[in-house]
Amino acid sequence: MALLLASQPNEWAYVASAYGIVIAAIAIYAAWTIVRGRKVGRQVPPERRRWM
Amino acid sequence: MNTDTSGPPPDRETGSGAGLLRVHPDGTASPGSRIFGLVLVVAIGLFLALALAISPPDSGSQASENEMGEMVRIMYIHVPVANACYLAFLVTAVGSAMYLWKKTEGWDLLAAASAEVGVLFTALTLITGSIWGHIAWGTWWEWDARLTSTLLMLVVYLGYLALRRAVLDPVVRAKRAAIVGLIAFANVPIVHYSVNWWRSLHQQSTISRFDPTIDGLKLLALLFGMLVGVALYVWLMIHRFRLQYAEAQLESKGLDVALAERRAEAAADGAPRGGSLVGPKGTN
Repeated sequence: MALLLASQPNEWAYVASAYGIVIAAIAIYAAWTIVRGRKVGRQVPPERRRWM
Repeated sequence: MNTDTSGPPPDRETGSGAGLLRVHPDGTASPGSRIFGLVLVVAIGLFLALALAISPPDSGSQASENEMGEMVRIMYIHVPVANACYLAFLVTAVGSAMYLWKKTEGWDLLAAASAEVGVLFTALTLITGSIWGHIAWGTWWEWDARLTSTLLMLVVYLGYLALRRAVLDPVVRAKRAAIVGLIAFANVPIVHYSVNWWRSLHQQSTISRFDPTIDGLKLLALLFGMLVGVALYVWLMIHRFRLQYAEAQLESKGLDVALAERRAEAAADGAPRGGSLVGPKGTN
């Protein structure tokens, strides 16, 4: 395995891809949740949103 | 200065909190979740610095038995997202069991929210594992016990989410989803122990034993990554659960309106229909 790893010159490209995909996916999901939360929350009376 | 007292209440206009802690009045955030989010952003920054810059590559005299080189850094994100998906599905199973026991809507909402977050983390587990596998094994995918059982887990929980969308009656939906949520969890220990039970390309546990195969800063990066992964799951869950709750409120409001409309229609139709029944009876 070490030989196989050593033969790959661009390990950092794979590392950056993995981190980039995870961060982007979680950021998009978090943004979607927050935006949808505001959209749905607008239609729910404040007294029924107990966290406020 | 605004002296108009007839408008909406202040929190409706500006939300609560001030400065960085100010939250949107209609959103799923609260001052507490905002503080948590800010702490989480700092923790993610620290984790990235530790995982990508401070910790050394897995090579040389301090290399682990797998000698992963720079690719060890993928482990610092792959293992935490995998752990977070186990946690998410555990919460779904607990929520499902509690719903079947207590029949309380909140448990069903918790199970649903957690399943969705779990699906996201499972997909990310497969993607990061695949990237690592491309270098380590020379292939993006292998029908290995760990990979196959993880893919099965993803498909089963996607089915769980599809079931929730397919059934309109909230009570029937909650009951069916709870049963599926409990059964689906049976696969989670199989995924975790698959590397021990079957011959697998996937490496065995790195830290869940008394002599972890990595140490020092590498172990710290992995453990800190797992902590951040759990915190991220909790933060996402706070918002996703509140969204689920708001959607349920909206759904019940919609059902109330639909029921009221049906009752009004029935009342309006009642008199002529009654008359028409009397008519033929009277002519007999």
